[in-house]
Amino acid sequence: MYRPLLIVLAVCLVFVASASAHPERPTAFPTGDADVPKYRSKGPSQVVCKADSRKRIQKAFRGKGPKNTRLRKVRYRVLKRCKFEHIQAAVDAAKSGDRILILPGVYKEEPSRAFEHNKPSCGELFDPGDGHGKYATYAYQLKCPNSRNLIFIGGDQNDDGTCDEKCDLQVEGLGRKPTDVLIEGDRLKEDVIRADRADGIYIKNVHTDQGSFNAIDVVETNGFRLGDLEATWSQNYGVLSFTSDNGLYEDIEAYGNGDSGIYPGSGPETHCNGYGIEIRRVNSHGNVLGYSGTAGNGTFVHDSNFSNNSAGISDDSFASGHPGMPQDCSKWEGNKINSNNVNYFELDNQQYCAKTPFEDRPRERVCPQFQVPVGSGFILYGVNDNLFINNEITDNWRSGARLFWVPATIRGENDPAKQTDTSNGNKFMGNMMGVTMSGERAPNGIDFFWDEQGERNCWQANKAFGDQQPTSDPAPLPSCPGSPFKLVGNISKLAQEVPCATWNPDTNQMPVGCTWFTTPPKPR
Amino acid sequence: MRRTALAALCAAASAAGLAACGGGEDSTAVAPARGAATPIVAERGLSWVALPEAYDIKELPGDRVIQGELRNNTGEPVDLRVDQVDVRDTGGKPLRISVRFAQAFGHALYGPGGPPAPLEASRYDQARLGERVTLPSGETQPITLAWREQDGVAADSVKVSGYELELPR
Repeated sequence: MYRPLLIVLAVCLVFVASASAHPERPTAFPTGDADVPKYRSKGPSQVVCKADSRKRIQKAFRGKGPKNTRLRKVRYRVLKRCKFEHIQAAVDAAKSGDRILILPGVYKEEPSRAFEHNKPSCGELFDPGDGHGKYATYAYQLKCPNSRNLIFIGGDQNDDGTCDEKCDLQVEGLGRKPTDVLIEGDRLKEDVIRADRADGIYIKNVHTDQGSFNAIDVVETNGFRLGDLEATWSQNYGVLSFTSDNGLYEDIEAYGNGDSGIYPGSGPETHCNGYGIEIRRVNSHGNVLGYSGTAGNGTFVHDSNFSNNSAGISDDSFASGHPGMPQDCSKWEGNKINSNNVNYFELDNQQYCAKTPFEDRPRERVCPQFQVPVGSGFILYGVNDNLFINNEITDNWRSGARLFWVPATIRGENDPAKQTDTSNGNKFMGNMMGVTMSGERAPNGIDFFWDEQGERNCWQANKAFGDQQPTSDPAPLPSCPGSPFKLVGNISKLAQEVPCATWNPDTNQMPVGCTWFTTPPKPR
Repeated sequence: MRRTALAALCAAASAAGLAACGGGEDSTAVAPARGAATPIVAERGLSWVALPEAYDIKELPGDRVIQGELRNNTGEPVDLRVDQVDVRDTGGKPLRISVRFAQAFGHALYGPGGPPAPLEASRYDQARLGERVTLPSGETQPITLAWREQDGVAADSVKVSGYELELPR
C-alpha cells in the first residue's frame, strides 16, 4: 500500500525525465473565436504546376473508369490555369480566402533555396540568454520569408499580431494521394512550410520531406487544419503547431523524424473546458517519438497509432519559453501505442550522426535529437489532469506508461508555491495493457511505472491478458479518485533518471548511470 | 503547525533550488523524506545536509547514483559547476560521472542539431538545468550524481568545487 505522505514531508526528493521542446520566438495564444477550417471545393484559386504535371496526372489517375476520367479531366482543366511553377510564388500572389491548388509534381522551390540561409541583411537572430534559444522575430520572417523557410505563409502583414492578409488559405495537393505532390526541403532551411499567424490555414494532401527542423510548422494561428499529409525524414519534427488554437490534425502519416512525428506544443489553454486541438487518424511511426507536446495542453487525441518509435508519446513540462506551462487537460482515447522499441541510440548510430551533418546524411537516416527511454509507450513528465481512456498499450519493452513529477524550477519558475504543481490529477481508465483489442498477449516491460508523487492520480478498470491485472510499480496503484493528498516521490526512482539529462549527441552519447539507451529485453 | 508550514515551504524552495532550507538549525525542522538519510551535523565548508543513500542501477552493474543536498557553510558564495565535480576510487583513480545540481531531469531548448554542449547553454539555462549554480553562503542546493566503478574498485570520495565530501557506500 502506498503511503499517503503529505508533501510537507519533503526535503527534496525528486527525480526525473524526458520529452522534447523547441525554440521559438516569444509567442502568445491567439484570442477570439475561430473554427476549424472547412474544406472548400470552389472559390478563387492560384494554380501551381510543374512541366511534368500532365504526365503525373495521367499516371496518378490512369484508367478508363468514370471516376478516374472525371478526376483527370478536372485536373487537366486546372492545369490550363497554371501560372506558377513554385508554391511560394502562388502564396505571394494569394489573397485571403484563396485556394492554392498544387498539381502533381516534385516541388523543390528553387528560388527559395537560392535565398541565403540566415542572410545577415535580414536582421539578427536573437538569443536573449533566457533559455529560448536563437530565434527569428516575426518581422525577420516578413522581411526575408525564405531565409529560414522554403515556403512562408505569413498572415500578419503589419506585425500587429493579427491575421490581416493571406488568412483562410487552403493549400491543397491535387494528386490522388499525398505523395503525388512532394515538397522537398533543402535540408538547410529550418521549415519546409511555415504558416505564421495564418488564421484559417488548411494544408491538405501533400508530402513534406527533409526539413532541417520541421516539415510543417504552424505558429500563433487561430483556426488551422492539417489533413491527408505525409511528413517525413526531417531532422526534428514532422508536423508541429505552437501557441495555436482551434486546430485539427487528421489522416497524417509521419515517420523518420529525429524528434517527433507530430508536436502540438504549447497547446490551447482550455483549463479542462473542452479541447482546442483534435488529433485523429494519425499514424506516427519510425520516429524517435511518435508524438510530443511540451505544454501540450487541451488536445483530444483519438483513433491514432503511435507505434514502432523509440518512445510512443511524450507530454511534459520541461522547458522554458513555452506558453501554457505546466501541461494539462488533454485526452487520449482509443489509440494504439505499441512496440515502441526502435533504438536510434545504438552507439554506432550516434557516432555516425555526431560526425555527419544532417545535410550530408542519407535521406532516410534517423539521428536522435532528443533523449528518450527506449521501449516506452507514454512518457509523462510533469503533466496534470489528463485522461487516458481505452487505449491499447502493448509490447513496449520498458514500460507502458510512465508518470513522473517535474518541479517548476525546471521550466524556469522558482516560486516555491509552484514546485509541486505538476503530476496531479491524471486518470488512466479502461486501457488494454499488454493485451491487444483482439485479445492477443503482447506484454509491456511493466504496464505502469510511477514515481509515486502527486495527488489525484488514479488507475481504474485497466485490463490485462486473461484474468491478470496490469503490472505496476508501485503495486497496487491508487484507484480513482486517487489520493487527496500530495504524495512524495520515491527517491530511488527519481534519482535514476537524472543522469540521462547529461546526454549530448556529440559529447556524451552514453551517460554514466543512464539506462534509457539500451533496448530492454523483450518481456516474456 | 508553524513547523509544518515551514517544512512545506522549505521543501518547495529546495525543489526550486532556492536554498530556503539552508543554514542554521532551522534545517532540522524538515522531516526526512523516503529514501533520505538522517540529517548530519553541518561542517565548515561544503557539506551534505544529510548523507544520501547510494543506489545500485540494476541494468548497469558498477554504476551507482545518489541524490542529496549540499549546504554551503563556507561563509561565502560557492560556484558549483558540473565540470568541477570529481569522484575517485580507493586507488585514487578518477571515475566517469554524470552530475547535475538538480533533483530532476531537465533540458535546454534543442534547435536543429540537438542540445548545446555542456556549460554552453545560456547562464539562465545552466542554472535551470543545474549545470552551474552559484550557491550563497548558508544555503542549500540539490545534487544528483552517478558514477561508474571499474574492476570492482569502489568509489571513495567526491570533491565538489574543491571541497571533499563523504561518498556513501
